[in-house]
Amino acid sequence: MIGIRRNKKEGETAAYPEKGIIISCDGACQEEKRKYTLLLKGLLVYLIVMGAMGCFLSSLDIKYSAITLHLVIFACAMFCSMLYYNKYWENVGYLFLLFMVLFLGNLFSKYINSGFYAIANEISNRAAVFFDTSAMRNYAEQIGNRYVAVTISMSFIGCVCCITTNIMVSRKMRFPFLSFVIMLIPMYLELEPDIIYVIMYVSSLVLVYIIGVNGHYALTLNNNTYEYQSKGKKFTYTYAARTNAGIVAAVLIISAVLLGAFSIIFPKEQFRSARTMSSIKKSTMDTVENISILGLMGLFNFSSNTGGLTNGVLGGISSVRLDLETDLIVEFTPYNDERVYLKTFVGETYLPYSNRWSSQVDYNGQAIVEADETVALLKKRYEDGEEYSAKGVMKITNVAAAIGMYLPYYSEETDKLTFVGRTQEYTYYPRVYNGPLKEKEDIDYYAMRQWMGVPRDNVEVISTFVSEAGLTSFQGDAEGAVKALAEYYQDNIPYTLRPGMTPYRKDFVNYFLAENKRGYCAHFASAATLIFRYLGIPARYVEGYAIDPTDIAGRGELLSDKEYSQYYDGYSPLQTDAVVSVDATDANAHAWVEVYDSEVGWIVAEVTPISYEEEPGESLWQRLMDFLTGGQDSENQDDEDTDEQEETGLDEQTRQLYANVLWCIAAIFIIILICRPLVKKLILLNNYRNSDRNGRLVIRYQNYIRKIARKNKELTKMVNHEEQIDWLLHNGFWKTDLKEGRECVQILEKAAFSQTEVSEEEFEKVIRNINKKGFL
Amino acid sequence: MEEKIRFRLRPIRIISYLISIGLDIFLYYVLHSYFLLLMAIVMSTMPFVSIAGAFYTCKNLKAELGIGKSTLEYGEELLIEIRLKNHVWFPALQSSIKVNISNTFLENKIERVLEMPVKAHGESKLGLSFRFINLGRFTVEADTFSLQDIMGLIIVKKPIDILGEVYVLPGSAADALPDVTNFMAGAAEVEESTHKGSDFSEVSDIREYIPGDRIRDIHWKISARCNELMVKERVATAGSEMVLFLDFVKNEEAAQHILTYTYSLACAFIRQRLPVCVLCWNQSEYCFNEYRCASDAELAQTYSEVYRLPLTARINEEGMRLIGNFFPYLKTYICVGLKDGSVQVGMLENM
Repeated sequence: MIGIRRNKKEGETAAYPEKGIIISCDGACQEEKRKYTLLLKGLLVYLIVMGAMGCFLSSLDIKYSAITLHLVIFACAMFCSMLYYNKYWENVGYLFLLFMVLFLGNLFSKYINSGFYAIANEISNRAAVFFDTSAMRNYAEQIGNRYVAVTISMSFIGCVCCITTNIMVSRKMRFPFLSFVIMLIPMYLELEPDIIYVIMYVSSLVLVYIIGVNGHYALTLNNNTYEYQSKGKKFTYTYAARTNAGIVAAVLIISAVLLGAFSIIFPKEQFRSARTMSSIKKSTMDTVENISILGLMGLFNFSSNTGGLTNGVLGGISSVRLDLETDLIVEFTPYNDERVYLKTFVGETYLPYSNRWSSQVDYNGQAIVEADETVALLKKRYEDGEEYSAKGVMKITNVAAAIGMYLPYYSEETDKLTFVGRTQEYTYYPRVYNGPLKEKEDIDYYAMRQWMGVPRDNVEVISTFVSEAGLTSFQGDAEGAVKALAEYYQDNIPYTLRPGMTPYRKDFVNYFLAENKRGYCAHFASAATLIFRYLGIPARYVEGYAIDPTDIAGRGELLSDKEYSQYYDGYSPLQTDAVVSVDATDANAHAWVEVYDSEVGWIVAEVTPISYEEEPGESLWQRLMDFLTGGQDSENQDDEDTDEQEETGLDEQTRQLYANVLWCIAAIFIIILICRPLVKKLILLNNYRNSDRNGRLVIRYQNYIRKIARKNKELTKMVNHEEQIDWLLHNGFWKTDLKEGRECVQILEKAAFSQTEVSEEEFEKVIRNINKKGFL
Repeated sequence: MEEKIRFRLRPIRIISYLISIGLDIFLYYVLHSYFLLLMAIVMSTMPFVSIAGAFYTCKNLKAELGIGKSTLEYGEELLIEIRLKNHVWFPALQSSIKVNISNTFLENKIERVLEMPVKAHGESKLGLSFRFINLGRFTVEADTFSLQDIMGLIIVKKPIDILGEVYVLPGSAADALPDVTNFMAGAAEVEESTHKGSDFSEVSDIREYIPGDRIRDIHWKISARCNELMVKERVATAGSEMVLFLDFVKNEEAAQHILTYTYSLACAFIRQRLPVCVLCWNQSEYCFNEYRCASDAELAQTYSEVYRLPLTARINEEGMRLIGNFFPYLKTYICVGLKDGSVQVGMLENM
């Protein structure tokens, strides 16, 4: 017996005598057939299950025997609902169902698995088309006849759904919202169900809501149409099959007419052609794609990182989440309008499937960044006093970055580490001369061999990619190859901060170039390094910080108290004597490529495409704000280019305001939650203090009963002192004998209902028993 | 009564429903799905249909009360039927009528709520079985009918006029009729004592003495003449009726005992073909109400009249003293009242 409601009050048809009147509704009530009510519930279960399954399957446009599925689900729904006809049927019926589920599940296990896999594969295929990816997984279908497998599998799943839905509908009249959550899959993939199933599903949703809010759905043990409820002193009907049938018919007709008319006026094909993708959905696409490829693991990062960079370890980051807190404070003098790079890691050898770049490390495990000959050439030009030469000093304060080297181009101080909280000074020789630093000569490939290797596991994919991207003609042409690859990247591979982890047993570069085809700087730079090497160009993978001129203009602070001469000496193309301080955050963390030029040495090759993606830390919020403010925030965002600082401030204020409001609501809610019981207790104490002895006894007794009743619901059914104390004695809460229990009942009755005050002894007698549980 | 329909909103339910619609619209905004659009259309249309339907149904709905009979005996069951006649094709799952059941004599009342479904174009019935274990006049009345729309967003209220009344008589409680011969004889004696000399006008017959006859009934003159004992057989006592005075006190239980005992006495007198006059105080008019009855039906009617005024208006502590003033020619009457915590009956001479 699990479905039929039963409690002490159930089936009560007569009110207790009051003022000389006994009213009852037994026998005089017109009885309605219980089976009609059950059949109606069965119909409701059928509408829910078939509606949901039909919506899902018709969205995927998968072939199955619809008539069979309808018949099976209808029969199962009716059978399940009729289980509540009486106790016997319910007990035996559920055992029978359990047996049948196990038996049929075992008998058709191959068909069920195969049909299930067929649907999973269909979803994967649809998702692959939607996300334009080839990284989706597929399952092996054991049965060749998909039509039969899907029909059997869905019939079995439908029966299981009928059983669970019937319990929810018959007992609590709750709609199984899990069905709606599953419907989100086709909705996200822009697949639309057939209108007939939409009518069934939506009608059932509305019907469950209607019957639920009106009550009168729980079946009682007896067949009385009406019963008396002492709470509320009302005679109320238990169920009304005819009226409910009227409601079901009305809702079905209204939904059918409404949706049918709308779908004729505005068919889904027309809707599909006019559909646009919302910005919120766009911002979630990468994450959803990751989940569809990697499962829930796609939501988590498996290596700690700064702006997605992990000293050459690749593929473990699903989504780059920026904290935008200051990592470094960089004081220097800008000398041109190009990016300022700070190197922290130089990758030498790529290790496929291990998905990382190896580099030389010192005895502390710190990556060694060797000063190359370019530094020596530039230093020599400066020391020789040549016209286009300079020397600069960069002061880098490590606020919250990892301990390491933050080496500017071109510095020879490769032994200086920057510790957290310390400031390090680097001397560098900026390349302000655009001409060659040395005479052109053939590259010594033997000397460069560590910067030329392409792992065998990557060759095939890179070869294919190079052919597809049309880079084969740039063999040995560093400048041309860099430009062509950057353009190809820009046009064909989107930048994203949510590329997803590299799946287990897949190579990072191969997966990026052949399957996933999206990523952030580490993906582009790693692949580019191997591509350049494949084209015979010495190249290396570099990680560090990149500070853009816009960062300097936006966040930079002019240090007027600093002596220019202490920071820069020599030719400056910008012709400025400003010393600036810029905060570098994890948004400035970057990976890039260095290619070897025979006339200059190692030069930066920037191939990462421009990102049009919102910063992930703000995007969803930003989209929500757009939604709430009707796009005003987006407009603010668009204006950032013209008045970035001002707009950023305004945006921050608005965001802060909303955040504060939300925090306040949450805080109030928590305070109410915490304070409510405290306030209750204070009120109770105050009442206790202001009461006479009778009142005090009653308060303490009620509080005591309430405390016990919290854990023993049965006690709540005991309505008078005698019943309560009998229950307490019977259940061992009171250790006293029956005689004292009876005396206590009399004392309590006296305290509660008479004008006579109980004596001190009487008071103590009751309190002796109550005190075991304590007051308040 | 003017049928002015009023309504009350259910804010929490409205807000939660709006949140549901809001969630659907938000999901539609995010996913741009045709399915969600269709859902939003149904979800936003249904409340209007539901509310309009509730008003329409409420306007066209008629509530009726059916009471089997108006006079009951103590403990007897009565079936009262409440009928809701819906003339439109729109159903409702939740309608309620608050019914007040009052005992106008004992001045107490109870309230019960009746929740009923409203069938589409049909009649819904609720039959309630009443058993009254107090005496008095009971009224069953309801003045408002409430109907909740099917979505549970509003409650529509409409005034209705349902009224029924039932009189509960002691009936079976008074089945054991008391022996009233003593009262009748006592009344006769008093009557006789007021007349001078021998008066046969009250004697219906003279018969031979049967052992057990009272000595005082022996007609000594005729006995002497006939040489055997002859006794007078009387048919009536004083006047042509027996006066029963209901001396109520402010105690519901005692009042009901007084009523029950008086009812028994009256029945007994009526069985003896002696008309009864029930006398009770009327505080609002400051006089005694006299109700004469010679049959059970008249006795029931008398009790209905007694119940019309509340018990408090039937109490006068100086009632017995006032009888002398109001009825100077009344020689004897039977007083049913409370003495020393129990109901006492006594035949009193009017002073």
